[in-house]
Amino acid sequence: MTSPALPLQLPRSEHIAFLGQYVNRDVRALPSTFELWVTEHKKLSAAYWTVVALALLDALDLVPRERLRDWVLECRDPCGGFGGDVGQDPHLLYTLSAVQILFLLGEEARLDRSSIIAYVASLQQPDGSFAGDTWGEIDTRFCFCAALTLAILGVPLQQREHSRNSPEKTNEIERPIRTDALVDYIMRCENDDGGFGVIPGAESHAGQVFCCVGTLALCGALYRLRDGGNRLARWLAYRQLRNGGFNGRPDKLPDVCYSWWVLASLKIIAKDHWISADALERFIFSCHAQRESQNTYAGGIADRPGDEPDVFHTFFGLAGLSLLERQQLIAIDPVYALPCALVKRIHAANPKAELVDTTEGVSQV
Amino acid sequence: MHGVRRTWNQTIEQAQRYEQWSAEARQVLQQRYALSRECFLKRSEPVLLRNPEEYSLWNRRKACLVERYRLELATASENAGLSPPPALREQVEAEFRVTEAALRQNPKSYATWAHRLWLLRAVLPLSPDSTSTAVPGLGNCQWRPPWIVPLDLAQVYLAREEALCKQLLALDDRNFLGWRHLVEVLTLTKGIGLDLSSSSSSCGEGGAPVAGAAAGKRLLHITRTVLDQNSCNYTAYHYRSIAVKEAPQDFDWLEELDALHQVMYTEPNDQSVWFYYHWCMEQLQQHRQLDQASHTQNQAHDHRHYLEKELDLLDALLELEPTARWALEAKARHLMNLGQHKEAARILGEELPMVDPLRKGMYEELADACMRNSLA
Repeated sequence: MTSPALPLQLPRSEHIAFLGQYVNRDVRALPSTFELWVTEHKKLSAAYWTVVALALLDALDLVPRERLRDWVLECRDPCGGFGGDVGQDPHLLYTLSAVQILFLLGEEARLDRSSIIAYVASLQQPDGSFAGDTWGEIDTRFCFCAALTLAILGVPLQQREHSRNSPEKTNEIERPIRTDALVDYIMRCENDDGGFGVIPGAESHAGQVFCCVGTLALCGALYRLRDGGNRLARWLAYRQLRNGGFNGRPDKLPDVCYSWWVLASLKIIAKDHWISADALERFIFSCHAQRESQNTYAGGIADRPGDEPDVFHTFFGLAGLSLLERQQLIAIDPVYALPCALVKRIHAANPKAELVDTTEGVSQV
Repeated sequence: MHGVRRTWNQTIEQAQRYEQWSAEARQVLQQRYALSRECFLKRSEPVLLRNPEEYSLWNRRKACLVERYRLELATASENAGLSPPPALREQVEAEFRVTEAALRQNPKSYATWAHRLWLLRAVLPLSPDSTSTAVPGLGNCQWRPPWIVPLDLAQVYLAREEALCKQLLALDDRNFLGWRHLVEVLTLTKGIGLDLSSSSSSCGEGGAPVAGAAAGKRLLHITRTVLDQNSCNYTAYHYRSIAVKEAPQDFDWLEELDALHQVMYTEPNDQSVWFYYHWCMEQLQQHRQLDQASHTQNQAHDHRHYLEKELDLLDALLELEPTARWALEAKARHLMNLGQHKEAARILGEELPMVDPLRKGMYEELADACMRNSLA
């Protein structure tokens, strides 16, 4: 059991030391723990989570920039996409992670922008959805990966009819994907409970909700949510359990990762005041790894109290606290999952893209 | 990593085992195009059984099947017959076997479910109304005869999928990916005009293929079976709501509500039941509004009467359990639908924040909106 006596004060240096072990590790070394072994195929995502967690702690200078950049570029396939590690097949999941990492490192000039855009665009299906790779797996996660990758690269995504540009001007802008079809597909995945599933008709799941709401926000289409977003917000608000944590579906156990998926979704639709921030903060602290003696934080956050900490949940816990504006963390953008300052820089670099205010279009009831 | 309890001391043996497993996995990965097909298939199997998320290895196995197909295509004679050549059938069977073994070890492996769905799509006959013949990954090579999986073999494949899903759902009745696969299988079944509920008789003899409603009916039946085991299964209620839209004629709303009323009494704190209750009431209201448009004003009267009956029922439940928040929320909603906004706003703004303080912000905002409606 965890001791309730530990103060709600972020163990910054312990977290930085915990995350530092991963960034300073030789990526080619053989994994010696269960966690490292089981995530071998998705090292690029693990690296993104680690680096962005360090960014939230304002500790990016700890990252071995050149080494990480060179390894990320080595994961690139000639087709333009990136694999989860050197030698793995390209996939949208890891293409997004690669783009996010290089922007975090300020090394985005090293990306071959046009080949990435072409790769992403090639995976859009006739119905507007995106396959994760050329083998055709369909999942709303990949819609979000596609939309966010393009948005970070400064590609305009806003739906044509809602663009503030005049039609003549719109035609000059590059439009590598069919945004309207993408938005229509996402809306086919909306359920009567207000949530979204992995494909049309599939059960609502908080992770898929985040991906779908994020895609709608990037496409300027949040206005399409039913009941002005209230239906979705109610489903999301009921994910909070008595102990303050969120689950991903009704009647499931809480998990720190939903501190991000649920809270970011609520933030995007401007309903984050529908849950208890204090209770969530307490839950995230209860998932902090403690030393064996149980009276100090060890660094790292786990899915649930008493479980093994890992970089994924450390990011999700810190990102949740950042969204709650607690513990003096660097502010994170709920759609881009990158520091707000970096997102501002991306917007400034791409005035043509007319990136929308993420809460625009959701009417207050 | 989910649900892994903290271990304070990992043994040297454990560390060595992970290193050894990784070394093997990396070797197969690096050599996946250099090894012969047979050798790769053999060596990737144990690696995938240990970590079924090694997606590039599954991809290479897909490519092996495509290569085998092209080989058969090149050597097939003009009149090779309709049945798939034995060598191809064997390799397809091997993929079914390996994915099943992997799923039994990790029923939540995304990469394995995706591989199995790809396999099914690749081997099943095309749906009659399908406009696209392309199977992802095959590029310009079309998955077309000279040979084709005959319908009776397709029936065997699909029935086996349904059985596997049911087995895995019996172990975990909320398995997200298992349910998705089941629904994909029913959709594929519908697409080629098969009816799995009559799986004892071959489709060929059965005559005309059964239309789309059969898939919905099948899903209604499966969700009922699951709910009979555990009436608090959100996933099963969700898929029931999807199935009803496919097969509305096989659904008795009043019978459904009666059954639900009983569960609401025995499980007043389970949200799956109440979410489904809201859904049923919403559907009923929509149906009644449609009726209303075409019938008399008696129907409007009828709906009021109906909501009042539901309110009586909730009041009786609240008398037993005054702090049952789901019953309170449902009551507020019914009151709003009856135009009694003030009382609804009182429950939302005063009672619910007391029994459910976590969501105080939500209730208060909804209460304000309710009051504005009452003034409007």
